[in-house]
Amino acid sequence: MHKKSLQSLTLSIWPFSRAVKKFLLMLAVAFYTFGLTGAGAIFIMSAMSYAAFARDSSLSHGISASDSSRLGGVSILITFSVFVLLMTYFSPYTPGVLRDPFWSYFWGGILSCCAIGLVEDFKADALSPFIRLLLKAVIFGGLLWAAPVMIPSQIGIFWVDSLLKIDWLAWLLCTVFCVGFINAFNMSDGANGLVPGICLCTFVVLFDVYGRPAEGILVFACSMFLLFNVVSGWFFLGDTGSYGLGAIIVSYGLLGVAQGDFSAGFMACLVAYPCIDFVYSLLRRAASGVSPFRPDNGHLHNHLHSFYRPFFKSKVMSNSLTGLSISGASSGLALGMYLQSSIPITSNLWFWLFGFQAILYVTVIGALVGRQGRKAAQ
Amino acid sequence: MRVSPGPNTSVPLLGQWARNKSMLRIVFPFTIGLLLMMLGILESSHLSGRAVEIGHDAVLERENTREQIIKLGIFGASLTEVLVRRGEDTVIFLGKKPRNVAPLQKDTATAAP
Repeated sequence: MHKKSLQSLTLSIWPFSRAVKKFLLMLAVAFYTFGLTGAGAIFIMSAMSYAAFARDSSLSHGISASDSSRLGGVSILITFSVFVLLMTYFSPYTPGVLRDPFWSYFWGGILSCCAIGLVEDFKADALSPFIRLLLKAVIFGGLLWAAPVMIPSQIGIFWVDSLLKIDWLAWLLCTVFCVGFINAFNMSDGANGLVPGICLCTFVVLFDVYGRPAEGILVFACSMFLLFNVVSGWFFLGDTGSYGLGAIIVSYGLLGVAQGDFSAGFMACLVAYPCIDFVYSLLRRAASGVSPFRPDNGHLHNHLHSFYRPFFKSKVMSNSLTGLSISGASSGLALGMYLQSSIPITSNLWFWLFGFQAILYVTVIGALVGRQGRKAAQ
Repeated sequence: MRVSPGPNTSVPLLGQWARNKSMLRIVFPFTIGLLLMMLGILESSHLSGRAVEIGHDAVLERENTREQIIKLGIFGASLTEVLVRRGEDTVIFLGKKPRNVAPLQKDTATAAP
């Protein structure tokens, strides 16, 4: 009775439903950080989340407890494109793709990966896994063939460096790495704010290193999506998002390492979670005798969510906390050390931090699995 | 034997489409979002352009009046402000010559994508 009267009192003071309250909160934060531009992005994202098509049921995702739109990546793409178009029209900014053929290959490759994801988001399983893999290999093979400046000559690991000295082998290894990385990114997309959090940390570093408008707009689009995703939980990132963001990060990473702007170890620390989770999942599945590429709910984010779930009444809260914990402890740690200037970004000492992140991953997942096993035995 | 007409597969008229509530739920906030982003980018481009004409950091330091702060807050020039502070070589300001050189300017910013 007391609870009901409290609810009616709250409604009389603040007569909005939960969804409207969430929307107003997101709008306020976006307005405070990016003004009208940020508020506009939130409106666009909320419009996309209403779409009746391209929705996924909660059953198809291990963590999410409600049906949501799969168009998260599409909304990032739209926000990014709208910003670039408006800035091109309203300011003297000329996008690099119009000035330099290299950037047109670079962004062409990224947009082609987005297009594969877009097909999958609008019509699930329209392309078989083999065709998707083949298309990604063709895109990155073509990109690296057209822009060999993106292929690093050394990454600081002796035996890999000796392989990278042979041109055709370097091209092949980089193509395989790019395809594998995008798949790893897609595989790790399982909690609110996980992949967007990792991307935001990476884009902040890229913007700080290069300071160009394109990276600035990526920071803007990604932070708006992170806010929307964490607060509302109305979106899944979808294949457009995971393929597109994965392609952006792997392309920038390769180029930066090839130009000597930062070390491969630093980039590995920034994107540690997708890489470690991918390798660990393949080994785990192979050890249990199932296909290494068969999807399951044995990832760290699934176990961590099971740990958080009983502590929170809200389904979105535990989901978002899972994503933010992992992205904060992996990419956030690397970003924090970068901002503190603890180690120079061109140093190979970052590989030690990557090793620490791998040990942390194995320790945490081991502890969580053991805890669940003990609980099940009781 | 007469064949019964199939389901109506014709494209709905504009009026019908506009009355479709689910479509309005998408189109209405999308349009508002576009307009807000347009206003924000237009005004922040204008502000940053002016800042470069006056000299770097002008919007932040020299014209730090209440009106300016309100204007910056409303039009969301955070991103543009960062770009202003980073230097004139960012292509946003191509063709405009500032009076003094920005302290945070980096050579890598010249080849902007």
